[in-house]
Amino acid sequence: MSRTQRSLQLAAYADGEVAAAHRAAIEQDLAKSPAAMREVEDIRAQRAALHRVFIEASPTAELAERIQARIREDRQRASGRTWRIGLASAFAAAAVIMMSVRLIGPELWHQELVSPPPLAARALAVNAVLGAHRACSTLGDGTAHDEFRVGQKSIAEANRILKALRAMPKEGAALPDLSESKFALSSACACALVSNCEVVHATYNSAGGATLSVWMSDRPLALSGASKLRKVSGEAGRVYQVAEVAGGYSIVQWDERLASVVLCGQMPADQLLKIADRVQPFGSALGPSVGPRVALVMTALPQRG
Amino acid sequence: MSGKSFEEIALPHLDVLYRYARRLTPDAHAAEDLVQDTYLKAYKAFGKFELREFGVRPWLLKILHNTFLNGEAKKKHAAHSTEPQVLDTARAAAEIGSVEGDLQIDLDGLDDEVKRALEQLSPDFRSILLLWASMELSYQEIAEILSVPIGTVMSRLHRARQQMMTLLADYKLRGRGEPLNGREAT
Repeated sequence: MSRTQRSLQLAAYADGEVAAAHRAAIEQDLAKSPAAMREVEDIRAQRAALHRVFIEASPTAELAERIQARIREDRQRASGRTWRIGLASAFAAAAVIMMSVRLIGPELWHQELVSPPPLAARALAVNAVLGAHRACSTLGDGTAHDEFRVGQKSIAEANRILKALRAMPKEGAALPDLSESKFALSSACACALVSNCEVVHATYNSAGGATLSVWMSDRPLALSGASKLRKVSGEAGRVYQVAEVAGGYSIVQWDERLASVVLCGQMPADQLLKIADRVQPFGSALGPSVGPRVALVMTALPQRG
Repeated sequence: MSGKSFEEIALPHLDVLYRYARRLTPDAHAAEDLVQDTYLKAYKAFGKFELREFGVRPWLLKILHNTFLNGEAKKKHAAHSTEPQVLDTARAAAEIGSVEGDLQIDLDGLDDEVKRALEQLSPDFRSILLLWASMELSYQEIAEILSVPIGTVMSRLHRARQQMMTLLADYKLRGRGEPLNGREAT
């Protein structure tokens, strides 16, 4: 390995971009090489120094007002245009609808309506631990938004719909098939939490009536607010955060490909961990298996501090 | 997706965008103009919001970055001069030699020098260092914002870090606080 390659590897390590599987080997090298350790420390010091400089600047209060005013102006201009175009379009549309009703009549009304949300998340105590849930209305009053009942749809079809809606928070992610664990998908919801964190959450039901909720976010989430929180090593190098909360609910969370996956169910943590071990939100492999130098980047499972 | 307005989703990132803009541009007014342009472009393109998998912040940063580069390109066309900071940096690197991780500088208390060094870097290097150090973005997110492959992010970051350390070492050689080649920071 050339010196530059070595530096790139150490930088990736310092930045938390090295897969868990490779981290141990690098740490062994670092223990033997003070120079390499110093390089890692220098990178972190440089990052910290740049961060200090970065946070010094603050915008004036007027900037936000100016931006809002410009957006309002733009919106008003656009709505004026829309109103004029809309009036003309309305006449045309009315004519088309009248003709359609005459031709195909009642068949128009036999389309299946979207069911109201089954309050997937409200049924669970997730809001006690995720710490970021403002915009997901299923956690509040349960009013309908993007949630759809999956009903008899297969996992593959539900994932196809979510993909078409561009609702999956991460490229390549998919709702897991939990049929092996005797849970069937019943509903899914794509929403944005505070800080604009995009999330898909889905509810699974067992034949016995147990409910399991799966969350996938576009960034690592930290569990908080649970009285019992512990770390457990799982399969494939995963580090689970496990929490047990009131009502007999357990929560298991882990980071994968810059995303977080959270499972919540009314069952003991050990049982939920077994289910979590089978969940492959990005398919069966953790990343492409290629040459070691490339794999360092491509299979990165960042563990940010 | 969330039923929120553009302002509700995008404006909470104003501070981050401004800070990024402030370090890219020479003064506060230019930074404010850049941020304002970014928000207007983002508002107009919100229907085509393309970075859902990474959230709205990288998307806004990408727009800001491209707006900044377009502005720089226009300036370049207007002036047709070789960027002095590129020449300065190359000269400094030549004077000090290859650094390849050998340069040891204690960065504590060197914030002013860090700022000056940032200003002297080429826009590409400045952007990548800011995205990397200031927002805790992953390589993948930086790659999306800059529209380059991850490998390029890693190598560019490596070179930017080296060049920054070279500049800081140069300040040290010439005496703390003295800007490179007598150029004053704006």
